[in-house]
Amino acid sequence: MGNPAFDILSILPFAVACSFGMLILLLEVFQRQTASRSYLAGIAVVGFLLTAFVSGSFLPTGTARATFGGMAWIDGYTQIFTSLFCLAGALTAMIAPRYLQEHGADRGEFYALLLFSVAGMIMMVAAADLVVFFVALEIMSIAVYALAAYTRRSKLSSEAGFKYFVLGAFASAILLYGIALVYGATGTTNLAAIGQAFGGDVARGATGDAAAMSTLAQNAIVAAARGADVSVAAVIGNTGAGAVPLAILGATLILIAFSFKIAAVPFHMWAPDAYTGAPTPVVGFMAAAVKAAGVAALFRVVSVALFSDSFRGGEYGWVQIFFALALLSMVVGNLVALVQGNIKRMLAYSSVAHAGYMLVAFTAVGFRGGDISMGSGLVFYLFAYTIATIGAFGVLSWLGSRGMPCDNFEDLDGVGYRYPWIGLAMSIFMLSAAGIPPAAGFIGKFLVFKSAVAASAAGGPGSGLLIFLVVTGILVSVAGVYYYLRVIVHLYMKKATREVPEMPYGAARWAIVICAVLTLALGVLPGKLVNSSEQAVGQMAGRADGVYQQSAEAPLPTPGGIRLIR
Amino acid sequence: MAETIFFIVFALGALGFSAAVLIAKNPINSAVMLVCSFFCLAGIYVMLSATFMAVIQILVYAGAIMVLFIFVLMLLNIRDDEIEAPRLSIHQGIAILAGTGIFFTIALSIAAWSGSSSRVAHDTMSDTFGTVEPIGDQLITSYVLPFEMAAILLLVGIVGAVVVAKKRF
Amino acid sequence: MIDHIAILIIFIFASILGATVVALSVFFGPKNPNRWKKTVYESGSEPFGDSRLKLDIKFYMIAISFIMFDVEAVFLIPWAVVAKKYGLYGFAVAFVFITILAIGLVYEWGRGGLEWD
Repeated sequence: MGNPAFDILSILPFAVACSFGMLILLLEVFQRQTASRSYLAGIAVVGFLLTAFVSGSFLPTGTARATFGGMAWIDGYTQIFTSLFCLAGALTAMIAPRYLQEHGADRGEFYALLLFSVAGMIMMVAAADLVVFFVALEIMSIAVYALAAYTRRSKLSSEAGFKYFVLGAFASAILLYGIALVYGATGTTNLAAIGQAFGGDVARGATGDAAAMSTLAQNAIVAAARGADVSVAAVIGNTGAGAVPLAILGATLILIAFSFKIAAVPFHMWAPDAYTGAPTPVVGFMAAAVKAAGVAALFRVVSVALFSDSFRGGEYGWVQIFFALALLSMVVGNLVALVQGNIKRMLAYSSVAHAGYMLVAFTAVGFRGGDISMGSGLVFYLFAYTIATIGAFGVLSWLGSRGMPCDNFEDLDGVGYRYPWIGLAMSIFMLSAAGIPPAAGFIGKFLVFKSAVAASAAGGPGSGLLIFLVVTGILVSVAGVYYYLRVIVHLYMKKATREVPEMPYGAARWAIVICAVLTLALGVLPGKLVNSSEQAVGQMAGRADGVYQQSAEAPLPTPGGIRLIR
Repeated sequence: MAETIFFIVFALGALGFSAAVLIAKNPINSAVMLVCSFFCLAGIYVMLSATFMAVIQILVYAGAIMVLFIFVLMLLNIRDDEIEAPRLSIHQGIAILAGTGIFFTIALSIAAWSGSSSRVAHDTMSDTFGTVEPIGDQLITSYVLPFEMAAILLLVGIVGAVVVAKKRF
Repeated sequence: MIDHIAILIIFIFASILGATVVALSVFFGPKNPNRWKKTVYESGSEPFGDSRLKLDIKFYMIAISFIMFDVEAVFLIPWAVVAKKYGLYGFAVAFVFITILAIGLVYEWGRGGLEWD
């Protein structure tokens, strides 16, 4: 069990978020049906802030610890993403009350589900074991399915929830099958131990050296040390070279499930319909926080469990997979977004394109021998993307009202003059999404592409392909500028055709202002966040340090893969 | 020897009933075939010494989840004449090709795995493996975090169901 | 595995018994069908309408609640078997688990999820 006091302390962020969720459920139930629920949004915001505060407070920076016998990692990486998810949740909770009242769905469950899904995201990123990871993913996903179908009077919302749910459940099944196969091949669900197995026996089996079968036996010892049945561990130790194809297959299935969650082409089919139908504040949350959680967790899984040389670059290495996913997502996302008439749909395809940019960072990490410091741009990118996306959907939900949704480009006509602040904020979000300075999106894109160029500069086979990827990315994002600017054109160069009803809920406006200010601030003064994201990625616990080299003396993952850094 | 025979019976049963799920015209028949398939799987679990899993398979899947399936079928209320005879479209052709490819990939991987030195040594397992007690031990020591998280997951499931399905909400 | 062979025998025996009873009545039961015997039994009234009614979504609510608490029970069975060994710690583990789900129950109850209408 390790240190029980620290164990309990370490999951406090998760516990706080869940407790606030349950508190809101109880408050919701013991209240008259007719009373307004807006104050619950305030409680939710307090909950998110407290969660972020707790997460940052109990662990000195620069340290990393495993808790619950190696089930989760509490390190800088977990902390920085905890604060991102809490920020996303708080902003969504501020944007939502107005929209929910307008659509006759003013119920407290919304905020409770929001808190639960953020709790799930926190554990997804912290997970050191595929079992924890899967449960966390399901907590997040089921909460978001319900949120997508939240305004049940709207057929579109039900359709969105239904499509998202069915396809998401399918992806979960694929993920589970992948986990099962990886477990079958390596005998463990612990990410660090899987990494050892892939780096050792499985890899050696691939090169024909079937004699050196030490790591899996070591895993058996680890399993025994963790309190597993010793005889079971002995069984596990018997796996060998034949496990290679099985391990690769399992890892591929896990990657497919991730690609679905982050809506990368060709697993993006659900996104446009789900984004169009779901309640607008929820779409912002789905597009930003859920995608960020998927990318962050994928980066942890890839750097800790799937980093071995042969697995990364070999015949079926994930570099190729990420290369193809990144290329397809950038091209398809941007080109299809060009022809959309519905803004939510356009933003859906734009989020697909953003998934592509994020995957460029993965490809770069893969080319550079698994040097994950190349991925620090990714963390910054996720911050910039999340804040701008939530802001953009916040503007759409602020402008829309019941029976008069703000869905099409025409609905934005003249808004820039009638509501100068809102128009300005929307312009900032669009500039950030397009990657134009001084918005934060520019720095994010710059860092990601820079890491790819730096990775290719090291030379080696395939570095030309990486340059090709970067050039394609820049070209299609130039094409993407068209549809982002189209929003601004409608904001400022068309005559106003509609009236936005004045609503008494100021919180939504404040949330939009916060998003806009943060987007600009991160774009102008990115230094601090760049530093902390470099630190967070550098301190990621559980992985073998830097470029992974397999040696006979490869350190045993201590029970549960605890590894203190610094 | 006896073990092999049992395995063949259960495996063929699971496969046959699963095929019947797909082929059966009436959805209720499909559901019943699925229950039979679950029973065969439970048999295989017992042979793998995963007795607790076998019981859960029957209690939760063949019992509770099938009830839900049948309720949903009745909820959808599909009439016989609405069920079209399956026609082979180009999409289905692609799906069949892809499915076959995936099947052979998985089958070959598993064959390579079980053909090598990695066969599970069944006799080294302890007698109590897979019974309730070792599972309980694991559940509240090593896996206590996922155990508590499962409670949150169930809670989210309850809230989600109420949000989506409660009539007067 | 051999310990469980008894279950299989009971299972096979029960299946054979059930099949035999049905088969006996099929083969040896008297069969004199006529028009009135073949109609749906409606206590003597003329049957009308469609026998297939659209089931209310309320049934779904019941079923899903049942599954949630069924799965809770499944988690608690292994706990119950070993709880004594772990003393206060074992108690605390289940206490947290049950408390979380109790809040779920309170919520569902208060929301009217357990009421028929």
